[in-house]
Amino acid sequence: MSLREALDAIRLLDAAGRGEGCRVAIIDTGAAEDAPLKDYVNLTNKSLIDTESHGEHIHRIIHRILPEAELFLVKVPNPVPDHIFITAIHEAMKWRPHAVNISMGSEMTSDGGDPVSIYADRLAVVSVVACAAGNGGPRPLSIGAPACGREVLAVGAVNMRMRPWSSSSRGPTLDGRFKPDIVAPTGYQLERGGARLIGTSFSTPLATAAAALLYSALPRPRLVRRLVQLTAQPIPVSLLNLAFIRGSQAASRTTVQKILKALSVSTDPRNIVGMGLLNVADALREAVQLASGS
Amino acid sequence: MPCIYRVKTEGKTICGARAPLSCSRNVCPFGPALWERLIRHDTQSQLLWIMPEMRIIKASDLDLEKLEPGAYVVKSMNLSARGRRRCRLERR
Repeated sequence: MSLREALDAIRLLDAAGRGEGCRVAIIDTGAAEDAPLKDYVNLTNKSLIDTESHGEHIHRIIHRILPEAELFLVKVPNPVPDHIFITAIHEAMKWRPHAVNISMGSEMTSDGGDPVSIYADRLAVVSVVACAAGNGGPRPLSIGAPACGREVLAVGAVNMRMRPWSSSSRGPTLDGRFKPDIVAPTGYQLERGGARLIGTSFSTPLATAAAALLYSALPRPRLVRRLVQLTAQPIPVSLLNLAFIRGSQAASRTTVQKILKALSVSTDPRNIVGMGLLNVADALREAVQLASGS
Repeated sequence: MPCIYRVKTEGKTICGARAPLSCSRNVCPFGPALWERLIRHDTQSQLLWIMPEMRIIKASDLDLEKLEPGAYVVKSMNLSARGRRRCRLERR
């Protein structure tokens, strides 16, 4: 499956725009050699070019979707201690980007009270912050910081058949909020015959690009996040069954019973696929209507 | 699934969200069922955050008596591009 097919699935191909005037920041492990950057901050002592086969793909994906957008990058080490990551968020905030892509995260579940989630929420006041949910599924409560933030857009993954990807991290958050917020495809190829990009890290840039397009039509990032959620295509419950059963098998029966008793929301479909599959064309249409006041 | 608030200091384990109370089933802000799950895989961090002032300290420097009212303690954490199951590239 190609990137084009993934974009078609989230109806981004129907949406107008090549990203003119959009500013997108990426916090990740480095840049691709074949994609442009408007500005960057390097928080490592290595070259800006990615050697982890992670950030370069994020950079390339966003450039392919929004070739006219201005791209910014904060390079961080991998793994990155939280205090350095907070510095990265602070640096990204200075560019006042329309959208920020964060495809890095912690494995520790959180209630949003940890410093990284709090800082990501602060960034979400000026930009739409799209965070990868993580690849800790099918365990419940496997979404960590900063995707646990209250104001960020946590992005889970569906496979190329638009069914829930079993390793996509699941909610709820430690304080019982539904997460992820939406899902986007993973497992696509950037080039014909190239490597398949698998993981929520690579579904997140699709949401970031969509958010940047939407933010150019709407005045506040919070509106974008809400609109993306409300216009998402629901994933039919019948498609959730398999993923649901796998999640239950991941923990022992006793544990599951105890968790279900205390936290019934852990089995809610919204904790697997959020509000559904990203639907950019509908979100853009609603955004234009909202902006024109009709 | 380690808990971000379960902090070991001076030989005892406290709940960072309800410091200086000890971490226990009845104290846990997330309920007894979740507490049992959270304590199963515990990890400790060399650094701690004093919140909401966002001050980072060494775990050995934590002084529970000096905590302001409303303050809470969170473990420092690492973020990774890989996750528990790493993002991967699959070549055909």
